[in-house]
Amino acid sequence: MLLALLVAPLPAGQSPGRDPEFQLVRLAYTDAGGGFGFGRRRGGSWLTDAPEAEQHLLQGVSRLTRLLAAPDSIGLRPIDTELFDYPFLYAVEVGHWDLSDADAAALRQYLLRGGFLMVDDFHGSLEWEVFMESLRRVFPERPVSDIDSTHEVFHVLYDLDQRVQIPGIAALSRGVTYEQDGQTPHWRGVFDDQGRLMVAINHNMDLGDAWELADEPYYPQPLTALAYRFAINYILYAMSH
Amino acid sequence: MFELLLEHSPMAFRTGELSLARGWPLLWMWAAMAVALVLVCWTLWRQRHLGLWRCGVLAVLQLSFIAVVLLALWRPVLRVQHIRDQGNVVALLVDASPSMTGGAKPRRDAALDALQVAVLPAVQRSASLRRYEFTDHARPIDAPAAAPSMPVTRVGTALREVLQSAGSVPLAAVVLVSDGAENGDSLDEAGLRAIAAAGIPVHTVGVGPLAASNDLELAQVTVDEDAAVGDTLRAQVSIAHQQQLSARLRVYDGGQLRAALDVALRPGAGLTTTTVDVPLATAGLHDLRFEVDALPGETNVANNTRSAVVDVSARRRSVLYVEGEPRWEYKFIRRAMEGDAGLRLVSMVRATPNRWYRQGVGSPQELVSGFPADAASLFAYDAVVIGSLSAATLNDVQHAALRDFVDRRGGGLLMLGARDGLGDGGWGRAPVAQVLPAALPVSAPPTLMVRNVRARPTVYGLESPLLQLAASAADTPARWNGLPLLTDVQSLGALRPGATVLLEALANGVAQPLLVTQRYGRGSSWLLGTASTWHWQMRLSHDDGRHGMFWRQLLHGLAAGAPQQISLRIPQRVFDDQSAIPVEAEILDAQFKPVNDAVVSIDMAAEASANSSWRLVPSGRGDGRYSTTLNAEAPGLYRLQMQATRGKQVIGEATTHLRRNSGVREAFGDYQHQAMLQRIAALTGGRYWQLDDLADLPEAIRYSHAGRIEQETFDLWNVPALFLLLLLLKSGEWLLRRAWGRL
Repeated sequence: MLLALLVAPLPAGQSPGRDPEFQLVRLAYTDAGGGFGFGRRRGGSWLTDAPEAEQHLLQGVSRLTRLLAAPDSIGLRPIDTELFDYPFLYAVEVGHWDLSDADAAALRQYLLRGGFLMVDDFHGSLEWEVFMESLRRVFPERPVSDIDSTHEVFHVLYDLDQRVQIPGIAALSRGVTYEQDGQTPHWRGVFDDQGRLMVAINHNMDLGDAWELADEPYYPQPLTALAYRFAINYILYAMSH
Repeated sequence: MFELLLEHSPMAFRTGELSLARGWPLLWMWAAMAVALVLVCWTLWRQRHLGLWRCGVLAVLQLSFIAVVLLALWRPVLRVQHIRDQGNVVALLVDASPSMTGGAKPRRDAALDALQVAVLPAVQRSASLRRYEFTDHARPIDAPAAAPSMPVTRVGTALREVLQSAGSVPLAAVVLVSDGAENGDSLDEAGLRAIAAAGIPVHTVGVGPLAASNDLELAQVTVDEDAAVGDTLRAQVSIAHQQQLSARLRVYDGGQLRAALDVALRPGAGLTTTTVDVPLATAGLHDLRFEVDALPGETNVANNTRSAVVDVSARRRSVLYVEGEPRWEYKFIRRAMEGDAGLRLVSMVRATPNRWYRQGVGSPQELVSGFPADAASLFAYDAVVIGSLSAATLNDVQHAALRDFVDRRGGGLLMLGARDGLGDGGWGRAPVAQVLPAALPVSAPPTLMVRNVRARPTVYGLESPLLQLAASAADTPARWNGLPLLTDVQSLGALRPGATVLLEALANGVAQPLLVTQRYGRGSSWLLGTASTWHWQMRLSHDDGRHGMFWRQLLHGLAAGAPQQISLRIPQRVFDDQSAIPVEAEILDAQFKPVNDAVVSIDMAAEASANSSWRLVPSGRGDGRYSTTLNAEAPGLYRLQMQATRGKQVIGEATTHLRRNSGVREAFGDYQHQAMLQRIAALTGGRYWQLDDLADLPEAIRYSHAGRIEQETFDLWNVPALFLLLLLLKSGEWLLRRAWGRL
């Protein structure tokens, strides 16, 4: 029953469908420290900001690009075979994820075959270590590198030379833009043998909150717009490389 | 015995005509037979106590006797034609090629010894004998030695040259002594017809063993003579063999070993064909040598080697891929083509209503304004792929250019299934629709259906190199069958008469065309009715490679047939024992329209002789075509560099290479080609003779129908065989009656 809950579509009654070309998939992972995701929010850390974040984002994607995108996301575990039908994967709060060996093996295959993973909303050195512990199971041999400003992922559609930290609402409420000791935002990645970006790592920032709170007056609109642009660039890059 | 009984030779009966010379009507003979039948029946009726079958036997014997007598009364004769004694010429044409004159016991000497004993004295009693010998041309044996000629055997050429002498002398027959190892391409169907048309019987005397022994021969090597950097050359190699079970095949490129393969030889087949892959990593000339290891004790090792010359172009062929919206199919096609050294995939995807995203462009300006605006800029590509792009995106000039891209440019056009692709994109009403292999649906309902289908190659697809997914053709069907299902399929509409279906989409036992192609004008057009081949990549292990292989082969095939603006063609790249090199060039302008007023020249640089320059002239075989015949006397490699100019403007250049080998052909097919010798004899009215059975050859020549002939009529009523037959019939009847006790 717990597993069924994990893989259930976010909004009850909506099917993934195949007519839309693009279907955003949330990675349904097990939280570190045990349990199947009954962390901060009901359903687990992987559900953070759902469903408003992707609903807002995908409306923006449809409005700003010619991509035919499904209006909402679905959740799938790494070991779900359906995952391989959706080459774009979004993982949030990965400072809490805990991938098993089977999860890691499946995710490795997914990425090597051409899938793309965007991770977001994790902060500070402690969560980085938790994140890396699982990522090393996926790619023990591949380093994590900073993505250079000249990299194509920052220029596919929008030229994103601005490196502005996109804060979560928790940080903003304290009058700062960072959480824990993550004062400096990092755009990092894991690359395949041909130099293509497979995993886009947004560390010390929270694009999900910026999408989720796009309709809240107290969240700065320029940061929301920038978060949209990062996401659109990631999606277009994933669909062309 | 035959001549004792019938007084004439079997050859006389074989060539002569039997008839009745008395002049009496045949009806009388039948009437006489009818009367005889009545009389015989009447007499036997009186002896019916003998029983039915005995009466029957006696009736047959008596009637046969009467029939023979009647036949003799009607005077049977044999009318024969034979050459007039000492009024004709008989040509003896002896093969003096290396295969006939080499070795410790030359085949030619053995043949001449046999002829000298059994044939020539008898022939010379009735005709004048003229002796010729030949390799590539015939010459009288007693003529001064000719200039050294090519070590090539041209049986057909030599025969025609000898037969031409029938115009000045009464040539009664030709005796051709040869192993039939023709290697000069002079015995094609036209050549054989010309020989038969001379009307002179050619008696062929076969020399040499009917098959090789303890010999491996590299019978044929077939390769694509043009390739791109990074291509893997797939060579088809045929090895002729006898009882051997395996052979070691090696491929050298400029002296360096590039591939080696143990070939299992098919027992009893005589010829085994295999393929060997040779990597072509660098641009330029690749001078290949294919070699099979010699057998222990193999004497003819010259036929274990073959050459091939491959020009690897530094120019990458270009494919333009246009998408009207971001699609997964686009991403995975791009991934499949990344790192392909031989093909440049230039793509543009309409990311937003106002922004085309370009990849693979050669310069910042390439495609900066979107789809090429005119024919000249579109014609810079070798192939075009159209994805989910509405036809309304292009203007009239671009539509016309796209149609002309196939028709006039000779490029390959592939249209993909998509939400805005094929019929759903309005392409059924676009000018390019006329070049497509199917009449795309033009009605309103969407034709792209979400449905799980299996892609299955047709018979033609399995034969196509574009759809091979395994190292061996036999494994390809299983590799296709193991692919994941496609998740959508799009109707292509009614197929055009010239269309070929290479892939079918199979669902619930019903198949519909999936990948279709046809030639149109100078180019080709293709339709692929799905948008989901990317699932092959995502649903199979990352190192499976089938998705990439499919797209690489398809796009290479799409672009490979596109002609270049300037092209230089030669029949082959390796010329064994042939110095005349015919070349043809095609000169087109930037719009790919033929140029008829160009100055076209070739600089020929030789490895082992002086360089030379040649001017090409209009060939008369079409607009923009020029030709000449080069002379490459010395063996070695040659580099041909062609330049086409118009006034002071250089239209373009082309370069190719060839290898000229010497002393090669005679080493191949070194046995008696009996079938060819028999065919020559049968077509001309002569006979095929074996060296140990030549006794009847003089008689066969005597009864020739050519030259100065005489006609003779011989009576047959008085031959001993006739009287003997009558005696046997009567004595047989007498003996039977005696045995039955009723004399």
